[in-house]
Amino acid sequence: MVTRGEPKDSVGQDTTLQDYSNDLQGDRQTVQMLAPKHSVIEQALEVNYHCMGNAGLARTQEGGFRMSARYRFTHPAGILALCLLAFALAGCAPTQVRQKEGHHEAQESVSVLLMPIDIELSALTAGGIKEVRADWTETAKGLISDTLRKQLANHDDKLIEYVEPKDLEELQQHAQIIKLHGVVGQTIMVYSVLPAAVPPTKKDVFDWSLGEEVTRLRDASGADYGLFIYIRDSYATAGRKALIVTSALLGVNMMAGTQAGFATLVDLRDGSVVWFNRIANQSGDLRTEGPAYSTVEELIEDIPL
Amino acid sequence: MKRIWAGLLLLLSGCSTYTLVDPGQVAVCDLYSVKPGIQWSEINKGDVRLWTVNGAELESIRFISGIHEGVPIMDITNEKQETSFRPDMSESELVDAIVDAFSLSGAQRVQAKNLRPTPFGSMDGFRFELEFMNEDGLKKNGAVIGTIVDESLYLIIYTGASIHYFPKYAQEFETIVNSIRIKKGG
Amino acid sequence: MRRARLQALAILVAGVTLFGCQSNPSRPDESSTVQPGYQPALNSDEAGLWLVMDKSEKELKTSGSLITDARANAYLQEVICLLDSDICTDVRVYLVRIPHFNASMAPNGVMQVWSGLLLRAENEAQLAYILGHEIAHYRYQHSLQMFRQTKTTANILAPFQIVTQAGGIGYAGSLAQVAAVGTLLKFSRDHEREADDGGFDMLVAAGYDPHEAAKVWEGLLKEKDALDEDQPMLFFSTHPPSAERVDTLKQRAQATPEPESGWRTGTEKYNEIVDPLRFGLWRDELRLRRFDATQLLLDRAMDAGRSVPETKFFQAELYSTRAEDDDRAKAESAYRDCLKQADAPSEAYRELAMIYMKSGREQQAVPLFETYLERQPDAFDQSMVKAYIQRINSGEK
Repeated sequence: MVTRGEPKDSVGQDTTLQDYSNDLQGDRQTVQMLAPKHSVIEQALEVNYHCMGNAGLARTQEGGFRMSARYRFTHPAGILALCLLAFALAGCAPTQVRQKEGHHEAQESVSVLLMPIDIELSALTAGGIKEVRADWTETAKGLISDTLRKQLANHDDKLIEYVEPKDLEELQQHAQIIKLHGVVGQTIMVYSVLPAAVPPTKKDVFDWSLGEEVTRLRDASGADYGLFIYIRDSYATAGRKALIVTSALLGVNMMAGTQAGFATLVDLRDGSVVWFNRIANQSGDLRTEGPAYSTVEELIEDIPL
Repeated sequence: MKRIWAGLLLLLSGCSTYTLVDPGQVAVCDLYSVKPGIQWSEINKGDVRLWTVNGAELESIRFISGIHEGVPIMDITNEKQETSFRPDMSESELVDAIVDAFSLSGAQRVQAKNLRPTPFGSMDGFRFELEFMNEDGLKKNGAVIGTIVDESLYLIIYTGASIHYFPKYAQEFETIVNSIRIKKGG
Repeated sequence: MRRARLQALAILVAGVTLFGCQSNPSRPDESSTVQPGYQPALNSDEAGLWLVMDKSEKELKTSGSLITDARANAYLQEVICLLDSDICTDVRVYLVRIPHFNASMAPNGVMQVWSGLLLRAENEAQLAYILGHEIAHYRYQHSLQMFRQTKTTANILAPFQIVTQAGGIGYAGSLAQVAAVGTLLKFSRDHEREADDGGFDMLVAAGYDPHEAAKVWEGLLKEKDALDEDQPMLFFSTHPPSAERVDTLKQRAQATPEPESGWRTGTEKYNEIVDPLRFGLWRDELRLRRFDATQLLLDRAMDAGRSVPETKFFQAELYSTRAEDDDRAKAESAYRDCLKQADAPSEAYRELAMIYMKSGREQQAVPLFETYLERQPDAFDQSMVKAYIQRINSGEK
């Protein structure tokens, strides 16, 4: 079991990938991987686990997976994992920005509806449980929203604030669109990081959509595009014992310890996703201004507005 | 072996990856074949085949075939509460078992609607619709068609996000259902 | 992200400010009770917590997990006001469709009563005792105290884990989400004692029969015994049970003099409100597939003569669902027994018909199917049942 020194005490200091890269040379025994239950990644690991039996991948008590060092270097899956890890470490993870073919940066200014940010900040307890912290979430949400507006102001486009509809049913429909965005975005994200995960029917095409339901957003706001942002972040609290490497391993963070986030631009006339960008690097504590700023900066980098 | 119903990635295990299913007659199992009208990506795990275009969380068709007595019907979880198949189960009992299996796997507010007899190829079958939400509250729809032949259960389960994805492939699902061809002697 | 969202899991953050104290002779330790109309200071961390809990309340409202029966909700509010007229206006009570015994109150005044509780409480006095118990936790701010003491948060989530592992059919995800509006925290034994006392006092002050208090815990403890180890009772993970508390409550009841006008249990009123909901409550309970525990509840209901046709129906359903050994025979005679009642649930006709149909007695099935369709013209399986009738009549197998 790889035991890392405790992550730096205050939340927001992630277990460092740098440390892990040093370990790669060393003769450590196992690496632990955790994924939220039922998450897309967990299912992928689960399948791998069943295929591998006890050969290389084993379950841990916390519900994660453990991969032996020997396995890493001798098994194709292990090698792949290492390659991905190396990619992630080198900061050159596979494609992180995807764009719809034929979509160009708008010549004239367009209007963009800033959808409510879909964000959750969690604490990772010693038992490996992820616990959403509502107060942390509110703080981060505020900071991110603020800096988003400021940074977008550099683009010559009309920003439209989202207004919550009074009608309960309408509100619920909007909520459904945001939830759908979460699933579509996570799917795009996983595909962008794990090329082998892409179904053949989705290879080399970027034709994602949230469907025509989004026209109700357009009707309500008059906006041409919707900017959706999804962030999940968790911080290991002091006392956390196991090393969590999954995010490093898979280069994405829906899991323990690091950030996961993506932004999409959706054409509100037909629901098509015209632009997608995910965060590849970590930025620390999102409840503070600096990291909030750089996270947003990374999220909207090269946004075609 | 636990059945998988996430169409997502399988690290290079040599165990299972996606294959492409082209339109045209394709054998699903010993009992029957179907004729999809569009391309699907398939993961084949023996008694379960999963088809998807965009990803299983968005839409999928699962072909569950040849479930014998005593086997959990959907084998979605390890929970011992999952109902096992008995050949003398009525259609409503099967509906209940499937609804419960969905619920056990984390689906919320699962509701079955409009249970009715329907042909399964040339056999007698049954069909019902589902409404539910995933764990995050995203609304989803489902359509299930099934039959019992030689004391074994066969199901085709189509699910997808209510917004956009389920409606998008609903017609294709009907095409597939209407194309069921029972193999001779099967 | 597939985990249930815990939007308002309140991790304690400092400084709760209280605006003065009110003396109230029936409550110990007034110095730290929540006063009516309490609002945290605007820039306190607690205010941030309230903001979030208010949002959670909104999600609860739109979650679809609520039982919106107007009479039942009004009734709960009435009982709360009877118990504690001070906080009456602060409390918003929600009846949540979750088939587990639970009631909880969040620091922002949201009271949740889960439908499993309504199936288990036998009268208004028992309901009142539990509500009073929860109000006491709220008034004494036990949740906030627990937060302060708890260093690791693993404690707080333990109940969520237990519940999700117990696989409460369809409720695992929403349970955590919904429960987060309340306070799913394990109270200490001291807290429990204080809340027992406080709840008891409220019960007596409102004129209820104090002997009912101990019965609630007794009933739960018996149910707990009927469950396997891996089927924990959620309520006990937050309210640690003990036999001594039952004894204490019994003793206090003995020591309380009955007023001339007598005590009341409010059984009639309670049944009036809950009877219309019972079918759904039993249906949800049976879905949990905890047959021994459910049998206990059925026995109690039969003994008390509650909603006899329904109780008999669900007894038959239990046999039918469990389907072990000679359950099939038991189910058949239980459905027949149920159908002797004038207002047997219409499903009973269908179920008996199915049994006949599957056992070669098709002709006997047809009139039962027809009665089912008559009584429930918009049944979700009407097409299927019509097909059965047709099949039988045309002589097919």
